[in-house]
Formats: sequence, C-alpha cells, structure tokens
Amino acid sequence: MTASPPTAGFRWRPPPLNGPALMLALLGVNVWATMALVPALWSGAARSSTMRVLLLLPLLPLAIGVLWRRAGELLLVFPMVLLVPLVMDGRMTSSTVYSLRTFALAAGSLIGFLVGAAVVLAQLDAPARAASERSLRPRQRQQQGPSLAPAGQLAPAELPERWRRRFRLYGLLGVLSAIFPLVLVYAANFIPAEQKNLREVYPGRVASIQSLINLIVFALWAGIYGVYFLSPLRAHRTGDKELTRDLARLKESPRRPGWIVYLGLVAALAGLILFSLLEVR
Amino acid sequence: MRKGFFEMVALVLMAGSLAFFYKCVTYLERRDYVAAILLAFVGFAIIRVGSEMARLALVQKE
Repeated sequence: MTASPPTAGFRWRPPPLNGPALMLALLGVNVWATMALVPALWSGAARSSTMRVLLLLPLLPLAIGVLWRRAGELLLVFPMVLLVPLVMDGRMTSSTVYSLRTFALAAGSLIGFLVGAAVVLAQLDAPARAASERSLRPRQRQQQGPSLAPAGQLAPAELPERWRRRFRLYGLLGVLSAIFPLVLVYAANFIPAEQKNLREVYPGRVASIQSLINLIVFALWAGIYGVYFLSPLRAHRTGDKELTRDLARLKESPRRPGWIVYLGLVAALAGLILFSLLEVR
Repeated sequence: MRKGFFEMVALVLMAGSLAFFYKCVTYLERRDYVAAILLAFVGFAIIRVGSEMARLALVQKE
C-alpha cells in the first residue's frame, strides 16, 4: 500500500478589504463614472438596454482586480473594457461631450487611477529573495541591525547614488509617458485655430477625419511608448549587457569621441530649443 | 556635473521631441502630409537619442 500524497488543492481565501482596496475601488469607480456613465447619460446613449449592460461590464474586472489585487485586471482589462461602450456608441466621444475641461477631468481620473493602482500593487509583499540575488543594502547595514523600511524596500537615505538616479529616471519616464498622450490628444482635438482650419479643409467630414487623426495619434503614441519608453527599461532589467559591453570596448578604444561630437550635441540641443520657441506658441 | 548629464540630456531630448510630434499632428490637420511626415521623422530621431541617453544614465555606475 502506498500512502497518498497530500493534496495541494485550491484553497479559497477571502479577499482582503482594507484601505488601499477601498481607495482603488473609489478611483476605479471615479474613472468609470467620468469616462462611461456621465457621457452615456449626457448623450442619451444609456437609453438602450444593451448599452446599460455594456456600461456595467467594466465594473466586473474592476471588482476582481480590487479584491484580489490583480495587476492584469486593474491596469489592462478594466481600461480596455471601459472602451467598449465608447466604441459602440459614437455619441459618447463626440465633441459635444468632451470640452477641454471635461477631457482634463477624464484624463486626470484615468491617470490618478493608473498611478494609484501601480502604487497599491507595488506595496504588495515582495517575493522572497533567492540566495543568488544581491541586496541593495550596503554591507555596513548588517552590523547596524535591521532596517525600518518595509520588506523589499530601502529607506531613501540607504540607497546608493546610482539607484537614486535610476529611480529618478523611472519617475521621469513615468511623468513623460503621461504628458505625451495628453499633449498629442490636445493637439488633435482642442486647438481652436486648428479646429477651425479642419472645418474649412474638410467640410462635412470633420468628425470622420478627426476620428482618423485620433487613431493616428493613438498609434503614434503606442509606437513611441513601446519602442522609446519601454525599451530602455526592458534592457535595464537584465543589466543592459549589450550597452555595457559597448561602453567597455569604447573605453579601451584609441578612437574616443572628440570635442566635435560634444559641439554637435550642444548645437542639436540649441536647434531643438530654438525650434520649440519659434514654432510652439 | 557629469553625474546628472545623461539624465538631463535624456529629459531635454525626450521632452523636446514632443514639440515635433505636436507640430506633426497640427500639420496633419492642415492637410500638409509631407511636413507632418518629415516632422515625425525628426521627432523619432530626437526621441531615439533621448532614449539612448536614458539607457546610458541607467547603466552609469559611478
């Protein structure tokens, strides 16, 4: 007779309901109300029963994401399902619904939710460190007793300079990735002179052309984000060995960049600033 | 000075490229497609350099 192995079955655990979960739920409901519910009520799109069901649909991934702290549901599925009622009825995204103020409100709600979700998800317990992994703690910390910072984190004063710089860059890329789509959507939809010009250039087709421009803006932003924002971080995650190797080779090479390279860089920056000052008014 | 150099250049270039993309969208609305495409390429070139500077800042040890 052989002993049966212990069953590692599914154990249902009640979802943790605490302050962060409540904050996430409130932020999510705020986004849902700002981007779906209010436009549907305002435009009259909520009269059909199908649309009412579609309006309630985003609350399901939100609830799952909030209760079980699932990043996929919170950061991807919920925003995507939120788009379904907007796509199904064009009245909810028409220019009569979104003025500059209401757009700013909707964008602020969405950014607030995404940042809040990222912060709450980052506060989850860090996985146990493997023996082969190195700690960010300086060696002298071992003699000074345990850190007061939560597990997996270091207090800012303990961080080496290079890690402070890296965290600054992560924040910088995060801020830029919020500013880029806002400015591009503003350029596509809310400059009065350009809107007037659009009506003159495309008489009778303004709505369809504007939708096309918005699609181009979305594709442009998705491409920029994937290629230029995520790629340095993706490479950095594994130590960016290719760049480190190139830098080491350059250090040993007799051909080092001369003053002309730095002059060119300064000239390019000056040209960029001049263009921005002359063109973006 | 050298410590924050790549970081600063990355910020200036990446934020500066936004001006070109902004103008690109406005030229698109004016039906000036050639200007829009040219500006988009300039924007891509600038943001690429900015992205490389960010990579350098991230691997910088000292």
